[in-house]
Amino acid sequence: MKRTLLIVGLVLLSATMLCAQPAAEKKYSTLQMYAALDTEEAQYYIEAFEKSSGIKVEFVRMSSGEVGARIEAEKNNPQASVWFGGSNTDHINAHSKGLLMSYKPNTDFELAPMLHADDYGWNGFYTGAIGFVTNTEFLKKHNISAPQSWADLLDPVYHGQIEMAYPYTSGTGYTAWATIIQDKGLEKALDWWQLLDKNIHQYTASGTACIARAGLGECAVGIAFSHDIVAKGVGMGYPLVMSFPSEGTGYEVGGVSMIKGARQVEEAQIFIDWCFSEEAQNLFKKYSRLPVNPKATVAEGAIKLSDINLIDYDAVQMGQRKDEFVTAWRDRIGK
Amino acid sequence: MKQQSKSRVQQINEIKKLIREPFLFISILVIFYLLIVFVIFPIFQVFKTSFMIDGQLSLKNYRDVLRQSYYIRPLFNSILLGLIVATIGTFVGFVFAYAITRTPMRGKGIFRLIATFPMVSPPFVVALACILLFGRSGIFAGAIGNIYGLTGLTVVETIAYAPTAFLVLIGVLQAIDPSLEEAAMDCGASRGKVFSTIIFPLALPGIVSAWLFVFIQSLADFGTPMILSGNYQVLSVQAYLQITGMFDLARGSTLAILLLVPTVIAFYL
Repeated sequence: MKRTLLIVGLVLLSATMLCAQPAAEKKYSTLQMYAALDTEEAQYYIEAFEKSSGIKVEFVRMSSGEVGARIEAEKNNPQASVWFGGSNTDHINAHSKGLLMSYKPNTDFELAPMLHADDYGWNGFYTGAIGFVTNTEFLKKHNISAPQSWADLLDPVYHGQIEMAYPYTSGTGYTAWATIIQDKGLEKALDWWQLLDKNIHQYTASGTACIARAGLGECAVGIAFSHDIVAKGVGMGYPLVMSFPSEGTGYEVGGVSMIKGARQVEEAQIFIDWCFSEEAQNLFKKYSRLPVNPKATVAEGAIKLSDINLIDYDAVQMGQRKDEFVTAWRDRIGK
Repeated sequence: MKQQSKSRVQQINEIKKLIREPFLFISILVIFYLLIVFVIFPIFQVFKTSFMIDGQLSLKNYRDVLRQSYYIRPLFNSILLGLIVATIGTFVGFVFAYAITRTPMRGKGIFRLIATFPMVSPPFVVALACILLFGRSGIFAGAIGNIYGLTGLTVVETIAYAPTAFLVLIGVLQAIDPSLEEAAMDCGASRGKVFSTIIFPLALPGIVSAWLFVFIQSLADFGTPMILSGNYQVLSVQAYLQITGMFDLARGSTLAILLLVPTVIAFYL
């Protein structure tokens, strides 16, 4: 018995030593990351980063709401150093809870004030606007044109035909809800949403699910971000058309931030710097995201923020008061 | 007193025997360890999160959750769905098991395969197939009504969990001695009489446990309602959304515990 225990102990010991060896030899440690972009897209950027910097990256894909929940749960023992992607409202919300660490990225251009926290707790590296994506076969069948305003969505023709993400699970869903709040004020926004809710078929957890579902004809209209609509809907050859509300629409800034207590601080800083480089920003056109670096080239067919009617979106207030607005929505809509 | 010490000696002897079998002993330790680390400890943590607020014991989370219609409705929805799926699933499983063990039907191998095959695929694959077949633009669009909601969930979960009932019931039915039936038939009982007075009563404990198994599985299912629930919200998804969407570990844990209660009750029945 003693001998068996001794052998088991020795095997375990040597196994740990074998595992520990290679890590000690590397100059940079492996960067641990939570990516709130789709896996394929995150992989595309991260591979480019690994090639240009020589730093290895391990990432887990989650929606930005999930990342927020995860880093809050792990705040005493952070497992990742960087939160890559996801709507800045979620970054702001996490920042107001003291979960993020300030870092001013080294950029070769001036970062506009709407693109970073005052203390650089989060930084915005791409932008995109909320739009409607509509199935063209549905439009043909009912002989109507795509919705051109928020008011159009209340048309009974769309009864049980609109889909979008829950405002409390997805940055996309929340940006749409926040847009309505900023446009109408909270009380009127709640009244208005009760009318919209009659036309909503279902809410999804992910912000982009409604695009493919509209493409497949499972619903008629989806509410999502323009870059997602182009990259995952129109650009994939689905019978879809994109339109924007004439009353004005909200937009998101995609955030990247360092998690408080990060273990790979140096690697995280190199990564954040890289996100703003011309090289990285040029990659965004594959997924129709709008770059913030003025030197980067924009995707063909992608809209520019200057082409659509934007509301004066107060991302900071919307991020800090997210819990309040979302609870108000749930209390009224009951979902 | 003497009796007790005797049994204690026996116990010690049994433990000694166990230690003399190092392989068995180590496996038991490993399994215990895994059970504690991966099952008991996490459940305990969830329990703690739902009852503790700032380090103090409190029922506030439960009070908050049970006051909101958007938490209570999913709880009832989950239980209703579980009842329906368990009943239909057990019935389907029983029909399959009875046909395979008790009738001279041909092609039993194929039917056995069909009855167990859904176990191989995760339920959400069945849910996706259901959308492609019966969705609004599916091949059989509208054939079973609106699949987003209770209807679709019932269909998919029944397909996914009837195999559990089948596997439980086939064992039970096989264990019933056929000579009992033959004796009854010799005495002139009809097939219906044999079924209702011999097979069914003997299989009843098995049917109940199959029903409870399916009920638990349906309650715990997350993949299917995530895809198919539409506006019919269930608790497992709500608990997930609460944690991932609202950063709200406390209430998410509370919902998870509420989901655990009927499951544990059903498990120990």
